[in-house]
Amino acid sequence: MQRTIQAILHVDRSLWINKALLYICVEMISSVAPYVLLYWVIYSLFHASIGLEWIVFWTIGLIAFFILQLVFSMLAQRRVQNEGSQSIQRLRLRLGEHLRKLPMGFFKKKNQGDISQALLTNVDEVELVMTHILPQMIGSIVLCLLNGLLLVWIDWRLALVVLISVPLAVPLLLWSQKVMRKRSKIRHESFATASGHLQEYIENIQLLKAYQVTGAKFKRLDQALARFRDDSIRVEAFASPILYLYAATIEICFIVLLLAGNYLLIESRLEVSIFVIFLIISLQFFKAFRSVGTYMGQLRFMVHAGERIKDVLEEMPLAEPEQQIIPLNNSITFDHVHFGYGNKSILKDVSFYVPDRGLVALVGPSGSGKSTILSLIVRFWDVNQGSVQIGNTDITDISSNELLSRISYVFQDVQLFNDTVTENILMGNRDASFEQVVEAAQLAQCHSFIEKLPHGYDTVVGTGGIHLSGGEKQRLSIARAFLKEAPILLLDEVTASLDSENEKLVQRAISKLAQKKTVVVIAHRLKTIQSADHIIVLSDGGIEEQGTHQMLVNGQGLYQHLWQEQQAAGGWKVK
Amino acid sequence: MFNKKELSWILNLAVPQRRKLLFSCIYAVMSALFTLVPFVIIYHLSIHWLNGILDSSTVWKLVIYALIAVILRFVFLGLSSLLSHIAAYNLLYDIRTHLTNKLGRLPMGFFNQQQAGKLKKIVIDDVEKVEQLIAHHLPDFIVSIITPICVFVYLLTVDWRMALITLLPIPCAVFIQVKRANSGAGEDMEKYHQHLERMNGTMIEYILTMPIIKAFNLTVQSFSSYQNSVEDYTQLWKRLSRKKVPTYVLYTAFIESGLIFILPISLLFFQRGSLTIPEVLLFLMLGVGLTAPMKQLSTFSHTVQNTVLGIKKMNKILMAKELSEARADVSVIPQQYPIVFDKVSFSYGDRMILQDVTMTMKAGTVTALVGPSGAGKSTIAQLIARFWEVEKGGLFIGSISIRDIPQETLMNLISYVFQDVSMMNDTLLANICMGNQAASLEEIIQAAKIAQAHDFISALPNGYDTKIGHGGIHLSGGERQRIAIARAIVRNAPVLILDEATAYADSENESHIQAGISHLLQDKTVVIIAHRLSTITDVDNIIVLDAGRVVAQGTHDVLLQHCSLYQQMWHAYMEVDQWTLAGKA
Repeated sequence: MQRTIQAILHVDRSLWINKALLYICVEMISSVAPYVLLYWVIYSLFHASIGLEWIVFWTIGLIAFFILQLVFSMLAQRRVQNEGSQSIQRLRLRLGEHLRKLPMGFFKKKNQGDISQALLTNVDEVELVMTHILPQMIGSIVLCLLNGLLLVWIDWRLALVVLISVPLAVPLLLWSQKVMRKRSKIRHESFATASGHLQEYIENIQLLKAYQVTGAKFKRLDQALARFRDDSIRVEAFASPILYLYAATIEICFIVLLLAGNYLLIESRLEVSIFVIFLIISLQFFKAFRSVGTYMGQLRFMVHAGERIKDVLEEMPLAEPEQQIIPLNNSITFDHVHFGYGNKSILKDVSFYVPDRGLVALVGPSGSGKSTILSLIVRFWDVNQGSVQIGNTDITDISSNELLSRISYVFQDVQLFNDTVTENILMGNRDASFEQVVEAAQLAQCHSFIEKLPHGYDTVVGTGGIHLSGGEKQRLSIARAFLKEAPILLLDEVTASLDSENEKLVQRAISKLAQKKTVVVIAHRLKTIQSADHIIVLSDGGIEEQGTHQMLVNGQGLYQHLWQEQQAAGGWKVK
Repeated sequence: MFNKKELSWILNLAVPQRRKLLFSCIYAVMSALFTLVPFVIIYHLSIHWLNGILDSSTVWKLVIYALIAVILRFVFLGLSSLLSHIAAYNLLYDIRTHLTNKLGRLPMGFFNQQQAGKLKKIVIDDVEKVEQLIAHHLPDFIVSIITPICVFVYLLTVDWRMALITLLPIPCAVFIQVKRANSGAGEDMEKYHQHLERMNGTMIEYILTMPIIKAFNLTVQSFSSYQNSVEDYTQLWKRLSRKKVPTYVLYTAFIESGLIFILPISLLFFQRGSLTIPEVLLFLMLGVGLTAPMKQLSTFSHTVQNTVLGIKKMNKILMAKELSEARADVSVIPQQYPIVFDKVSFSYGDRMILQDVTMTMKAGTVTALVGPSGAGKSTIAQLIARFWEVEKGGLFIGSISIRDIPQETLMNLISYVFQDVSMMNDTLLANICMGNQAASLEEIIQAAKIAQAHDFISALPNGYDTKIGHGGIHLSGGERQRIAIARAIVRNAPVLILDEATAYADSENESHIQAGISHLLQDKTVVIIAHRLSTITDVDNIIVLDAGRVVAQGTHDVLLQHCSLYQQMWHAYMEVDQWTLAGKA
């Protein structure tokens, strides 16, 4: 319970609690007060004749307390909603800012579904806790305490019978939650399996249709759904009986109270009027007690949410240097770099040097570590051993703002934001004018196709907007790079899988972009990089050989082999 | 809300569960009845207290009745909830298999319009909402309706005037609710969901584009849509809650305000001598909380709305048009395999993809489709496999319209190697085996050898039994492509479609893949789509497409002389092939 609240409070300490808590207390006191009045009424009922003036007086009292309760309930609600949503907003922004400072390794390690769940569903759940469940639960606890005190004050002997329900019922509640947790975990696993198979089914539907394995013939999915059904039923079948036992225990205590009271009555050790009011107030106590249980059950679901958010927030961001150094030039050095994630070693002892304004190409079979080298330069990850330097300064001594402002990175698969063309290009430099955007677009050979779009530069592209071809997207991303004007350019297989016409335009744009920059390029068509200053041949995470095209092609190594194969492939024809 | 057809499927699926649901309801009613018993007993005891005639045997007897009633109440409640859950989860399973079966029968066109994520969400999340309604709310709803009714009827028999008084909170609460509904609560809800959806969309985009966010050093503030959408959402929430709080507070307070009405009036009646103390007590205990269950009605209506929205989304899948199955009396199996397009037109939404395309791919020859991106090459390949339905004109294999060939037979005629190679999360063996379930292990190994995949498979720790995909090993693009080719070899179908089969291969793999493909081509009707024009210069026939029309056809030499588009493409290709990124040294 305490852990529960801590996990959620961790999220934001500046809570609404302080003032709202006061309001809630006053609200609850004014909802209990009528029962104190009732005590008076019932006592008079049994012992005196009641005059009309008393009835009027009591009624006014009741209404006054009711209004008091309304006012403070509104105050509390308003406070809770305002502060609660404000702190959830802070949480959302903080999570967003935190995520972008995490190393890319975090996004590799976790699947994107989990991360977006932390950001969306889990925050929504915490929001629900902050704005609804927690205040209501606190209200119920206060109500429980107040009623309990009232009962003790009225008759401590009977109060004992009522209060004994707490130690009897709470263990049952905790037990049911434990069973629920265990069963829900199993259910969650079969849920994950089923939804994984469903995703597989939908994503591969073309293949499955082509090979006629749709519907019930795709047995994995059917079995997983059936298991999910059975495990879901089991959660209910195992946990509910205990939960009902918990509720029944509370009710049975009420019956025991009835029995005990009657005995005291028979032995004349209790007055009827006292017993009557006691019964009525004990009903209020039990009601509040039951709702604490209900809220606790709901809260437990939310604890996971809180914990998952905590996990994300506790991930260490990439360390910023304490004393920033500004590199003098834009050469790139890899000095005995070792890198891997998990147990998998990706780069082994990689050393090379790219002079300022030099052009170096990375080649090698897929999986040899080419893209990893580029991501280490932008510090998506930190190296395990050795160092990456820019202008002879270790990049961990350069602030991330300084580092990233020096680099343009053009990816193989371009991602566009669901926004206008202008906004997408502006990503390169938010301060640029519209004229500069157009100029960059012209340099990137995309001005003419942008002009033809329905709203020109204001056309929305990306997932929710107009569909662009791979080549068009690639040229937009090059326009971004033109606008950014960074002295270092990283190119990751930018022309793979484009048709010739598009490839031609992309190539022209890149030739311009690469001028006077330090360039590291990954290419699989060796022809395209034969005039690079330096070629590094990677194999299995290590440098196999390096040199100019002439040197390598005259050698007997991997490069020469790849070159031969490509020459052969180039001459291959379908007959 | 729905027409009959849109709801009938779910009712049909619910038929096997109706006994469970019926009993769940009956048990819920029973448990509601037993709730009343202890209070009736207290009422009778209190009469004894006041008369001063109380003996322990009466007390024992009544208390034991009350105890039995409590126990029975929870037994019935438990049974009711168990039955409703079993029924609900059985129904969910049936709905899900119903949906996935339907997905298997829909044309591919459906999947291109709907993102995979959306469909998954419908089958998982929206279906799950039905559970909430049936398993939780059905019994809860019955209990929270039936209990007050039982109590009310019982109170009527005790004192009808006071019984009516206990209902007074209802008109107050209803009045507040109606006022709230009239103040545009529906529109507010809609606005809220719009804002929520926008914020969620932006956040997902933020995560998906993380490499760019990082590379361009965009903060949450400068990735403005993130901050804006979060702030807009909070602003709206605050505005709505300011509006909502007073009515919400009034509503919940009035629903439980029984005491205010009951106490003064019962005292008045008592004072006039028309109500006894035990009766006052009874109304204070049973009457005060009588209207409280009404609070649940609003959550219930919320769940119903939610479920209705979910069912509407499911209907989008279930009401989509399936491919028509060939009529049994005309279905025929072609004996020869030339492919003929006769004035075929096809559009995707309102975008025209193919216009009046007429062409023949001769049996046993290789036909290449070339053209700028968007010319309709892949669509043609997909139409042959009937992933989409031709809108106008006819498509024939061996002079039989593909509409008259049973879907299963048609698929058996075709091997399709896709541009993006999909792999199932299964063993390599199972992945190759998909091509032909009857293939022996020898045949599979033979095919893998021809596809140049045997060597790398053998090098894997578990060989052909190695799992790939999620939880398994990761294959490179080229390796996946070779598996896909092995799949096609095992299938050995007379028609072969290659859609950019070498696009993702890296330099090392490409020549291997090409060797595999050359083997596949023999004696088949082959349709090939290739970007690298040099690979198809020797094929039997090249069809040049542009913007959905056939521009020219012929051999490479003929086209190079007569077709200006082909010339232009060829020159672009030559330029691309010669391009190098120049260093400065």
